[in-house]
Amino acid sequence: MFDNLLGFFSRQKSGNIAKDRMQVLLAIDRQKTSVISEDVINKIREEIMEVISRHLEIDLAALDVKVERTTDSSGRVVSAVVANIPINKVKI
Amino acid sequence: MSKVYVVTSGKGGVGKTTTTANIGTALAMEGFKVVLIDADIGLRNLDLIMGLENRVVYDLVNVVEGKCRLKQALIKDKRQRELYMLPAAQTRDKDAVSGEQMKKLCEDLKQEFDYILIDCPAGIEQGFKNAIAGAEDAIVVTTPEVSAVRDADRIIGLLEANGLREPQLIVNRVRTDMVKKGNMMNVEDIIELLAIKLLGVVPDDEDIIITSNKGEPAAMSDKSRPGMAYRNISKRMQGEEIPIMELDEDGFFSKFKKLFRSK
Repeated sequence: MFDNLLGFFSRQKSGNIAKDRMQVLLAIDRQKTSVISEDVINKIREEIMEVISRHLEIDLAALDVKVERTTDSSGRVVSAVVANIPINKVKI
Repeated sequence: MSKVYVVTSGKGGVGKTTTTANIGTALAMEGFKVVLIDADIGLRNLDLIMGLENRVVYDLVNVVEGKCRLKQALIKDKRQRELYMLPAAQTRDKDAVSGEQMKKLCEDLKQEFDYILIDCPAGIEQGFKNAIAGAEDAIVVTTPEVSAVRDADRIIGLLEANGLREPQLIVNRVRTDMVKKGNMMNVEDIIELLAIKLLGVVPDDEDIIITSNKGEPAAMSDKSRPGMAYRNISKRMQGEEIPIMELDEDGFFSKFKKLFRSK
């Protein structure tokens, strides 16, 4: 009874807490245990920066390059390099 | 066309051996020739779950070391005509078998059997690497607990790195009562987190303890809910489209209650 009341007021159910925690944790785990090393990713980041900077002014602080794991439509597990490159200004 | 599956999980105690025994039994009940390999060297248990512990003479290590012929080591199941098991060695360690030897063994078994199911040891060390060496497909078993899900994710990454890129997930020991109250991650949550295909959902049920006490896999029992779940899994492995079973208790009282609710 008391547990139910507490649960009611805290709103977040433990199942949801678990899911939220796992979402964060698995992302970190996957980076750490990736077969693609931190060094390689850093190098890719630098080179992408170089190429894009020739044409666009990019937000270097927000530049994000990482390896993510997903599945394709047939259920095959694939690792993908995902780059998020915010543009400040287009150079003309 | 024969298929070689490894049943794996990372974390121990989530039900790899029970899953292997039950899927194997279900496939054999459908008339397939099936062999189960206990690759958990040093911690033999598949024989016990299958109720075949008194028939063990030779084991996996004896076979790869050439101490006996493969056929001598295979134990025929008591109930299913086309079901066989190759037990793990008890007194040796994981280094007693190599990945190459496992590959060769699986190739040999493919000549005779439709399905080869390898019961993988827990962990990610050499025993795991050996167990997956001969496999062509992987079944990942997890439970709706944070630690099991984390380890399953790690295993999926390692399987991918080893060329097993289409692992399928079994969520074991789901408790509908807890999921309903929001106190257990549901199957959709787990699928979203792990991002792999779902092969089946097995309810947490005392039948599993009872059937393992007796050494008779639940898949043989018509009335058993986990048994039904395993039979459905075996059908999905053959490519049949079987919907995931409703896990709501369908006992007399809940039917009774539903009757009243609908009025």
